[in-house]
Amino acid sequence: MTSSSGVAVRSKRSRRVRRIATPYLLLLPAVAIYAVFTVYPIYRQFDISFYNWHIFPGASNPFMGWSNYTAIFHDPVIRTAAFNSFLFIVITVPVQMAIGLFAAAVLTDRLPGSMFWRAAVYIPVVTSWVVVSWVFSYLFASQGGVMNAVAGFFSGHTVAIDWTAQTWTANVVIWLLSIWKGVGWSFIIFLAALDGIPKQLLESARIDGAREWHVWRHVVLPSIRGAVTFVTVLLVIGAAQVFTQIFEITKGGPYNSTQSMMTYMYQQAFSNFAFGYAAALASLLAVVLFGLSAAEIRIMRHQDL
Amino acid sequence: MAGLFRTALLTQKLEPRFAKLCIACGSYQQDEQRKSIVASISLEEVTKVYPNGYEAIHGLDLEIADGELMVMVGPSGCGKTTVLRMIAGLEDVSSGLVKIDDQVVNDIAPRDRDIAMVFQSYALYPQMSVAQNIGFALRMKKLPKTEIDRRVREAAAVLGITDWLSRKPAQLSGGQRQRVAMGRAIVREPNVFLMDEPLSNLDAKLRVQMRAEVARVQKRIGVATLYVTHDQTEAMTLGHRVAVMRAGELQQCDVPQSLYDRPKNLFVAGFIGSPSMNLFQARLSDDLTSLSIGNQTVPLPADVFGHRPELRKYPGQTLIVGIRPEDLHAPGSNRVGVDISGVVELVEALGAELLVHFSMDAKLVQSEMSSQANESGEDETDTGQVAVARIEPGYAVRAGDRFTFRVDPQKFEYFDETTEQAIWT
Repeated sequence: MTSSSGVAVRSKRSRRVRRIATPYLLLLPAVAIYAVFTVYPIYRQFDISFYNWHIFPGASNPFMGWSNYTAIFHDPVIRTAAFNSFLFIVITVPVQMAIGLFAAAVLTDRLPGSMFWRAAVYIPVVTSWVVVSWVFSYLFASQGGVMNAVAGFFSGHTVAIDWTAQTWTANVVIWLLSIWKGVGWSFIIFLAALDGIPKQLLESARIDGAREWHVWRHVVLPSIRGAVTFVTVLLVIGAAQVFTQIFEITKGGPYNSTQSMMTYMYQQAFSNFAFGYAAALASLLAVVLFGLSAAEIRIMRHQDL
Repeated sequence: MAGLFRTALLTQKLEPRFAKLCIACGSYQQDEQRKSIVASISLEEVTKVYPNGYEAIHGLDLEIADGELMVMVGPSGCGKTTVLRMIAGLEDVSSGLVKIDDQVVNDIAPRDRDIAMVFQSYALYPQMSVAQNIGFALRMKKLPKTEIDRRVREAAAVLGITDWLSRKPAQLSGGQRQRVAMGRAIVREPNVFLMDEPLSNLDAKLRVQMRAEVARVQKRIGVATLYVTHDQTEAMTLGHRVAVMRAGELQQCDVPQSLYDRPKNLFVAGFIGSPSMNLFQARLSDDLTSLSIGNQTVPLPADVFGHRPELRKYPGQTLIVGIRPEDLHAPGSNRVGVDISGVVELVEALGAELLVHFSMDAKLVQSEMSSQANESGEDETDTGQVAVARIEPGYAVRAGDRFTFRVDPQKFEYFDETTEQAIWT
């Protein structure tokens, strides 16, 4: 009798343990992967930023304290890189959003041919950054480039501008490529958001005397505010991390004049092997981006668009 | 003057005729105080064909007088909302003329038609407060802020929504949103008022309350109003006149009582009235003295033919006879008439009345509406369907009983079996 009641208690306890443990066991693989590939690298990057760290096994890594961080504020290239990154954000993000929203507005009605144009706008998103960067390099090449040929056709004489060898023209090429390739992403998000607006809201506004601009100002934009916030935050984060197109087209040159924070970070880490300094840059950028995103979300949440 | 009588042209496509519409003096006095604009809505041979070739509206003629509340009713897909949207300018008119106050508005943008519309979903701007929603049209007109504020408060007071002016639509119940939608429409003092099933999202009790509210508000603003609904009870209780639509065609347009008393065809007979009119296949005797409904013979008094001389053209022929549930009385109710009997299938005690569902050995004809209600509609006629009688409470009626009803043949409606048109004259 006592034995059987003891078995029953144990069985009940084991069922309870199983019930409590099962969800955690199911979560374990995902948590483990996240911990190994996300949490640990972030921690390690932050950790490395306090050392003069060397990648070679066995090399000494002297502790530097905050000196990697203080060095950032005395580095002249950082100012250029930060300015370029800032310029890249303020130019490419609004333009991508404006074109994406315009394209979405035009193509939201299922008119004949709209599927083709939707695909046409989105296709650049799924192309490879490296490949399209090369394509743009050829388009803007000084010898045999399409842009020079077009300029020559209109001006009537041979044009041989080295677009990617000059700071501002190189920046323009990078911006154009980034906008062209990025528009499709904001377009898709805005298309979905516009599709979600009840048609009766727009009709009601039109009956209430609103012109198309007022319909957009008072009904459409407030209705897609969530999508606008989402697109803004992600585009800003993405733009602050611009790397591939600059790396492929200008390598940050000439004379570091087209460096961005990420290309400069890469250069510091893998060309100059200043891993501690690069890690400090990455940490600082992460903090800035986190603050920027939080501010954007807060502003847009409280702003009546 | 006891009342203001206005002659309104009931322009039915094939049979134009005139009817008198009575509108209480009070509403017109208020209207005259409010503004002097008099506007009517007129549709002349209006057709709507969609790009895929589907013709939603076929040559519709309809006139809504100033101050009149016209209810357009019909089953889903009959084109009633399309008509409303064409008047609003939200749909192009394929052919024909839409006139507001005798001005053709076919090519005029919705914002320039001076109309107000209440949508089925209310279409309140979610990010705006109630006050901003109501005042939106006035802001678009660029009226001074103080004027907007005054008119919003007035409209809110009329609808009893002053306490909610600072709330957002998401914080309101369905009935409250409905009031805000009404407020947004009336604050503009429009020429024309359009309502697209504004009560269909409300529960039954609230719908009854809001029905009275709609009637009150419409009477107060006193402009031509088109109210679209699929609910025939709403149509009968609200409308000064009711236009019954079916498959893009106007079936009948008349004052509610006339629609009920003299349905023009089988469709209207089946649609108007709840429960629907019982429609039986019947055979008129060769000597025009009786009517056979199944195996029961109902003697017909000569008066029946006096009122409907056309019936004399149907000796020995099959026709369809319609009997309203309330014209089937319990035995011993001191009513004049003849007896018909049926087997009781179901009894619904509603307190003030009993609904007795019974079957007869007669072919019950289902109008399109009844078929839809029964989710069948494959075959328009079917034996084995049940008829309904509405009798006074207190009778001991049980399912399975054979029950005899007293019915006055003078109250029957008669329809041609082939054309489905009423035999009136």
